Amino acid sequence: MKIAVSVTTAGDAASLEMRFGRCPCFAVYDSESKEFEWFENAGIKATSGAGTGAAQALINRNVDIVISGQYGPKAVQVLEAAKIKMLLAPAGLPLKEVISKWRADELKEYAIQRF
Amino acid sequence: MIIAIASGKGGTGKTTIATNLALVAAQAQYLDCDVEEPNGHLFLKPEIEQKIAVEVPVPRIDAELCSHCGTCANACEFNALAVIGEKVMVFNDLCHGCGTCMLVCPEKAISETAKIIGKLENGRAQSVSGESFTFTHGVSNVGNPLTPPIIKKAKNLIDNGRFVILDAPPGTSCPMVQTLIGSDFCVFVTEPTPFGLNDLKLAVGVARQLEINCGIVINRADSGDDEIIKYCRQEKIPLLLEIPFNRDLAFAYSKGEAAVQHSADLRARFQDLYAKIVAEVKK
Repeated sequence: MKIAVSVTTAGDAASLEMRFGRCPCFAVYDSESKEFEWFENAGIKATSGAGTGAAQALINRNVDIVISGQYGPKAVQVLEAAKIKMLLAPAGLPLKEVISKWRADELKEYAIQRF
Repeated sequence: MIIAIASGKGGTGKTTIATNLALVAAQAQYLDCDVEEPNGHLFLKPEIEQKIAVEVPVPRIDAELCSHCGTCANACEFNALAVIGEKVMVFNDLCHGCGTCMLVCPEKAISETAKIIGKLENGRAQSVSGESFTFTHGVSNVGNPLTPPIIKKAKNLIDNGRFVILDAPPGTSCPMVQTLIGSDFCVFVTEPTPFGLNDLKLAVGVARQLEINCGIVINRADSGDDEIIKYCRQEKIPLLLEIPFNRDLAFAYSKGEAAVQHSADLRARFQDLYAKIVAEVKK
């Protein structure tokens, strides 16, 4: 299973970044190999559609679960259509703790708001 | 002669200047380009004779032809398309109608369809001398985030033989730039505060980039500091008018009365402003 986390930076110093679409970087954790892959989020520089762009990038990488601080309404539409599970974690939480909390099943699922 | 009335900072009095100028000018044409919140009509009280819908093209995907390759989503500068397995999502709100997706689609599965984003209303208003002049305002639909196409369509109605007044939206982003492009002169309305000055500098930067000469009107000129005047001197930008704060004027404004109809002194000041603008353009 592949778990993407919106993070502040790549590498050991990574912690959870609040914003999904506008996070600087994504960490993708492979639950089988237990290894991380990193990629820069093009959305941080996008003039518009950062959320839909970031969601598309996760889809293209066959991600199953995403963990972030909050999700914009358009990103939610795309992630939901792609059946990617959206989880919430507090901003600033070190990446390793985010993963251990996910393993312990301690992360809440994002409640989709219908307008 | 096309004159844009802009500001940078919001709430400095663009519409006050633009509408009063329209009321004293000869053969005016007033275009309210502040399409998210047009309010010139409150003071000019035009009779609307015509309404025109403003449309933008948005992509339509032919599900039979689409191979879900994702080329369109990848090419879209605005991330308005997402391809999820065998499903393509189109976010019309994000689409700028550029047509790139249609061009890059290898299956020719994308065509364009129109989406209404707002309207133009055209009519006539009356100047203080009783002369009738043309009035247009653009009105963006609530929730529509893309206003430049409405401004562009309003500007297609410009009659260059008239004294054209473009009432610009605040700020220095795309809608303001779209309004200023092609103008002969720009009047920046500001207030003597650090906020006014900061945003004025940004707005002057836009005008210079577009190579449009500008002049300054200071509203509520007797409040705040004198930094704007220093800035005008330093940058050699003509100071066209200073309007002191006046409670009567604010009261008249709140009832939708134009300043030039309210006070003979202000009418003379606006006639002077009109003459100064014409002289600046002819320089």
